[in-house]
Amino acid sequence: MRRRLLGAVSTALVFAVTTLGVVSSPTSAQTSVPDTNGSECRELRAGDRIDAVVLVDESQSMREWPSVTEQVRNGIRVVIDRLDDLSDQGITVRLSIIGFGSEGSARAILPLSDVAAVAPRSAELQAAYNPDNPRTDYRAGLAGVQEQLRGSTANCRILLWFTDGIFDVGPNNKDSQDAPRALEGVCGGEDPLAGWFALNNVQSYVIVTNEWNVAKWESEFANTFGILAASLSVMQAVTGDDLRDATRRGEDEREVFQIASGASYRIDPACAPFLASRSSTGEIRLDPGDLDDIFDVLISKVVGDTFATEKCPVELSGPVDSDPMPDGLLLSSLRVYNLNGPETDLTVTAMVDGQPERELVLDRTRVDGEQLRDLPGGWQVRVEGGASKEVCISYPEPRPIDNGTVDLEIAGSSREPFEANASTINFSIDWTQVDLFAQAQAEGRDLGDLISQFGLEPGEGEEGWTTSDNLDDVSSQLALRPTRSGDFDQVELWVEVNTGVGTERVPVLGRISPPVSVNAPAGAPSMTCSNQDGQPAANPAQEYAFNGGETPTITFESEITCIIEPPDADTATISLDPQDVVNPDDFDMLGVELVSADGAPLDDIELEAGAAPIEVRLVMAGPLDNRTWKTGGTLMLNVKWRDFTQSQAFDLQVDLVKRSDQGTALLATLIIGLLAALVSLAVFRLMNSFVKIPPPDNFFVRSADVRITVDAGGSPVVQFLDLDQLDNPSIVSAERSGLDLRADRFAIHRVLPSFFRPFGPVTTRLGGPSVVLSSPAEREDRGPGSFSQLILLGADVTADSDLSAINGRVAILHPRRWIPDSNDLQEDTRRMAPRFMQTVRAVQEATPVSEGANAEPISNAREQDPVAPSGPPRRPAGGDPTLPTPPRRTDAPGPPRTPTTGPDDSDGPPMPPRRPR
Amino acid sequence: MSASSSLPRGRHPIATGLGENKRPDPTWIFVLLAALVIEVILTLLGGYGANLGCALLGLFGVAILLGRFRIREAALRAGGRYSDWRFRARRIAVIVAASGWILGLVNVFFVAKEWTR
Repeated sequence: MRRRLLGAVSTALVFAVTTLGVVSSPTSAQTSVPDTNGSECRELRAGDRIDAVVLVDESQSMREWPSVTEQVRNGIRVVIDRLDDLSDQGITVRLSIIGFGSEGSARAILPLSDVAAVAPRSAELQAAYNPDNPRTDYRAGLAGVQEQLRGSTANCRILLWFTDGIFDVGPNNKDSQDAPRALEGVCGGEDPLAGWFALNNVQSYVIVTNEWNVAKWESEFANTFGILAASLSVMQAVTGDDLRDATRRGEDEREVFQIASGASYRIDPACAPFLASRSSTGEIRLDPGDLDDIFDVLISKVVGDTFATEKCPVELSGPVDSDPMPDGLLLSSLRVYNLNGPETDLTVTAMVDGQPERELVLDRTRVDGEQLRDLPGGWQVRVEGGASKEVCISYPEPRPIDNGTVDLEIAGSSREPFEANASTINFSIDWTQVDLFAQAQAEGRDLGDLISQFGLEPGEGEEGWTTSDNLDDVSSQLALRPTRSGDFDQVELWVEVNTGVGTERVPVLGRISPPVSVNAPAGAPSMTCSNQDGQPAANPAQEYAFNGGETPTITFESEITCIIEPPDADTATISLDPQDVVNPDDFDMLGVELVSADGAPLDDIELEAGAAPIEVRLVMAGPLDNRTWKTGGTLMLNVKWRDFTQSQAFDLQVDLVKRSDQGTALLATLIIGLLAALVSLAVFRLMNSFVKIPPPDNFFVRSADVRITVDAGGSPVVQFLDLDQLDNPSIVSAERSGLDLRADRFAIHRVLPSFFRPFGPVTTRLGGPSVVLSSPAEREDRGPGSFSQLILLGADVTADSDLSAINGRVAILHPRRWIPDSNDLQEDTRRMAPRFMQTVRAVQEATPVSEGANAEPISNAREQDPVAPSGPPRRPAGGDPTLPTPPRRTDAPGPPRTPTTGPDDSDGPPMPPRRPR
Repeated sequence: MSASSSLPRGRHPIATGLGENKRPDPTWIFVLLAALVIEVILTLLGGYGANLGCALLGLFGVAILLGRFRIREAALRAGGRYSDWRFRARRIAVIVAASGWILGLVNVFFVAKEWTR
């Protein structure tokens, strides 16, 4: 692309040489250009300029689908990358990013800035995009674009507008007033926004970022208040794109086209004229998918036909002249290449009308631009010598201009506070205070418009700038005439600066020092206002406020009363105008109106001289019936008499957005949390029910009868009555695999953790003999929920059993592919004996002796296994049977409670000492 | 017991070193962690829908996932060769699940705030 740009410049220069004998510079001279300057986004050359604005919809719907948010952020990146590419090709590109959402809430995410400087901040700018506004106010967004491009003198102005929704500013989701507001705000009024876009030929593209929303438009809003038609009409007016033009429709746009071609849709008559007046049109694109693809199309439209220079310098065969340059414009340098002849033959001359030609000093083949600094405007350069040569003219980069502040001193006044009536005030300005002019004569500069702000207006005749428009002079005289009463300490000025490759409009704040206090002229009507309580304001200049100055957060009614005395002569006009409001329509919708003393609504009121004073009231018509308002601004009650206006400002801030109740929310959270905790426990309980104990087909069981006696030392001794019994394994069975096991006389049942302790382990309840212990064990009466080997020791014990010799049975559940060693089993069983005896003793002691009690086996199981041969469970009365109690029978002392044959291994798998092999 | 059997005899399989020990299955811990990360993202994302989704995931989703972890863990333990990590897998899972549950409760508060407007 760079080669093409250079080639285009070369071609253009050669063409100029052969026809006019001069070579046009790549940049045509441009002076102050009004807003109505048309741009042409094609055939751009190196040195041309593009001002682009990306308008992004920051309504909340843009984040309903994360892909949409990402699409916009991706779009910002693509735009920056592509425009930066153009910048690399010698085109000066400036970029601004404007976000819009709720009523009047457009914001400059990026003011108009050089894209080359902005490119490194791409990620930061993407992150700055924040779709958080509840509404979609096109007007605010487009006005923000207009603000950025106002005064742009670029060759090409581009708007890239990302949105997904339709216009919506009212208090409800969609209001009957939305459509007329959109149409009036963009296509209507005396100076319609759409007209400005057409007149300035802003090449505009709307990128509807989400197909889903288009379907939503069609299904939900097509016939609702006409807002779909209004929104599309507005888009067409801004882009100039006629959606009904089927010949330009591509596959991607079929849905938009289908909407536009539907019988129910027609372009609103207010917007239709802006389609016809466009010299070039943009497009409305649906769901662009790959933004790079769409930008291939867009950028090709901008520079696709651009003639580009293949290289700089430019080949020349004749003398080279520059165009007349603007005042003070400086060339950075001029260099001659590929000179077909000796350097000494070269002559470079600067010429200005009315002055003798000046030969410039050549440093070999280069002319330093410093030599041109003292030339007045309109100079030209001529290069002669050599049969052929190439000349490259370099221009200075437009340097960023800092906004400045200057002091406006009142001419002929002392430093005392100045009091004036409505007569003209003369100021003097010392421009050297502004950094703007630090580089004297580096650029041309002209005084621009004055902003009619703060009530100081540039008047007619001698008023306004009274010195030359050329600011080569370091000081200027300015005459301003107050049109309002009040105190003024600043005025906003604009200075237009010619940077050589364009014009910059630079705001300069003028500080009026000392402040000027302007009184109403003699004979003017007077105005006295009072707040709601009927008390006049202490200072008439102060702002009155509705609702006592408090920002209401609930519905309210309020009122302000003013009494206006008539003028001495002529007629005064009274009007109520919003100022600095978020949305001018808000005040109407809030019900603020001007009424007479008897409550009759008043429009513009004329108050003739000699008439009786009138009383006007600003009232809120009634309590607001909705809770979604958040707006604010100032209402100006203006009494205009002749060309002087006396004003009273009334501040109105409303924030009626529904509030949340934090306390109630906290209470609700606690209640929901408790309910959720119960549900979670139930879920855990449910999930625990899926936990299984090992299935029976994992095991064989081998069992044998044992006798447990007590030796002389009181320690229990286990005797296996017949070890051969262990040689006959039997099958382990289950009624419900994973839930229970049947092995010899023993039964094992799965036990789930309790409801309120769901994180506990799944255990097993042991049944069969009246007293059963396991190794490993989970608790004294519980087996583990999972095991690879389990030894069970049980016996049927009655309340009066002789504990010196208990007949029991031992069983081992072992893996099928492994045979346990009998010695290990005996050793493990012996280690269980003390715990077993301890349990039996404790249970027996806790069991009450009763008639026939010796016939009832006692049990350590909390719930007896129904299939166990020992019968139903018997729970000892009077307490936990596992707790030791004092011996009931002193004639049968039990063995010591501490084991003597080895440590208790109830908390782990059996790990007996190694036996000799 | 008969010595004529061809099956191995002697100590418990773990003690004899037959086969490899089973370590905890990290799958469901990762799923729980993913759920927690999703909850954090939804919380940071904000908005009614995200808060509601996070609340449901936190209060009920993680309970189901934790239960699923326990089923798997019980199955591994039943194999008889279970060997836990140094920092017990069950503790990790419970901590992650509890964090998710609390985060879900925080999002319930956000949702409740919207309800009370």
